[in-house]
Amino acid sequence: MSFEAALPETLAEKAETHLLRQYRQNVQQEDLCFALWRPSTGASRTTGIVTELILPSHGDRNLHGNASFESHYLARAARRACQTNSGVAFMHSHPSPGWQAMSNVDIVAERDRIAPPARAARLPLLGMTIGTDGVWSARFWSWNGREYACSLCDKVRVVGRGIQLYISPHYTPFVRSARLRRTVDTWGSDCQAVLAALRIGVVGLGSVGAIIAETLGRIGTTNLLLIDADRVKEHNLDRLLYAAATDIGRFKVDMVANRLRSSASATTFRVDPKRAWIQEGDAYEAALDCDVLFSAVDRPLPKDLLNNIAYVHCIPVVSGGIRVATKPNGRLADATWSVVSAGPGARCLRCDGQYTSSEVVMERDGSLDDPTYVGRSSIPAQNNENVFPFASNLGSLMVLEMLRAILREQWWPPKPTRLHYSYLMNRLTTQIATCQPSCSVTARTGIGDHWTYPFLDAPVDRGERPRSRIRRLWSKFRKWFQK
Amino acid sequence: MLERIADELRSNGFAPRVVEFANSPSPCHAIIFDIEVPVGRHKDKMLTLALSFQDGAYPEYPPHFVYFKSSVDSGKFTTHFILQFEGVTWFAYSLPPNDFWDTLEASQKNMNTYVKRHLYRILAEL
Repeated sequence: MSFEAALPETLAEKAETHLLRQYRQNVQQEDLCFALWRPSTGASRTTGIVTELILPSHGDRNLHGNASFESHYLARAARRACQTNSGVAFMHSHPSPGWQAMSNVDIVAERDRIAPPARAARLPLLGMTIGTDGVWSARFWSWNGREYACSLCDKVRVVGRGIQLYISPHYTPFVRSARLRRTVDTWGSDCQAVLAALRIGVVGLGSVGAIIAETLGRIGTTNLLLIDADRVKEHNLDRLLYAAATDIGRFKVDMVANRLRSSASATTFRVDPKRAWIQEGDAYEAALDCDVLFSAVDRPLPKDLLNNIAYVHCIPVVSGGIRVATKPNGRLADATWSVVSAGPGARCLRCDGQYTSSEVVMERDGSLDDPTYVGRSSIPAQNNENVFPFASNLGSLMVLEMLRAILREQWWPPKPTRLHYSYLMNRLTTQIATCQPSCSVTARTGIGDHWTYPFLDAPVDRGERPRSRIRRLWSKFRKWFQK
Repeated sequence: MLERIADELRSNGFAPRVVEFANSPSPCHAIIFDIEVPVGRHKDKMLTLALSFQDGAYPEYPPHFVYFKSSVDSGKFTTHFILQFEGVTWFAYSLPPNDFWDTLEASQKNMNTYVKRHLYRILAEL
């Protein structure tokens, strides 16, 4: 099990303003505060999501170059944590930049003074340090039956207008290679290191998802998760990257993963194909291990689940969709595609009109697939018309959206909530919008494991082994011999 | 969840009872109650309705199947399936409040809003 911490950007900015206030006035003075966190548990990663700051009042802490707190301040934080089913987080600043190591004083303070009373909340203590350059580092202190043991976090992510990722020096570093020379020259090694440290999930490996996976492999990402339970069919061959007639019947994730292993540019590259739908328990848990998710699905239920993951677990989701309109004579009327980034600080997919909760329950019990019903309802029928260039353009736009979030600098214009391309008008438009005030999805931001999606299914064993090259050659040979 | 729905209906003057539609295409819990049609062709007529619910989904996700104890539809809606329960034939119509449910405040997502804004307009169209 690995450990990480996550903060919504607005909360991180507020904490940073408090903790670095003195340094920004050129006063060498550390500061501290308590906060609350909620767990988000994936298949192999636990993330502590900071949900609330408990800033000190007068008399709560003492500043003397270093900083110390009064016991009543800790008691207040522990009490609030118990009331809200949260854990206690302790944040403090250091006078140096970058990922911070722990001094002996820090260790004694967190392990011996804060972790024991914080245990009243039945969750480990989350310790966080911020350097003078705003870089966060984090660790958990949990009781193992004998002592409070420290588990260092690999990464801390701040999610909002952009994605800021702070990486532990112990975490696999980015290795510069000749293959990625032009890529690194384009945006620099710092950005490349972030890309290399991200675990990225692609949900839906159809025409758009396969393009996204290929693009991610080419730009030097090192850790991909692919989720789809669908198999390659003959009608996919005109749009599905890599697919050939010999792939018909194979799981799409296996086919894409096999090709990615040879085309990926990173020196070390790991891809995990998951033959499952995202709403199946094991795929859902695997998705919670990711730092960014791509939604290349067109059904309401998986969109709804991913939308909730974006806020509840603070994992940004880049979602895309294509709509093709044809005339009665079968000719193309128009094609539009759009990209929406969901996550803390952004408009959610439901408020964006990508699906409704009614469609989700209808999909759940099968009535969404009834053509007689859909044709007569207010819900538009799903159409699957699409061509490779539409899909490749959308896939590329979706990856660009993720890159924009990572490369983003303060002076950049505000990130649009939606990109919309009209093929007929040959025009790409952007839109900035917020959720409805009543949005229940954004209201759940950061609550992690405390919310359970109501439509999760049990895992399904689709344990068919992917065909090896020798088996495929043998199969070809047998077909040829039978002819 | 079902008790909450039943309580909300009771507070609106209905007498609901919770049943299990075990032999529907997707087995589920349902709430049966009588309702007087306020407007339309069947005005003042008492109808028996059932609403089915997905476990744990309400109120964020609204009910969408409305079951009528007899086929009273004027042809405007499509019968999704027919169900036998307690010796009676129930006609299921998939009629979700797709146009407004997601825009409601959390406090307004209740059976009072569902009946007044959605169910009454369906009954008016029968």
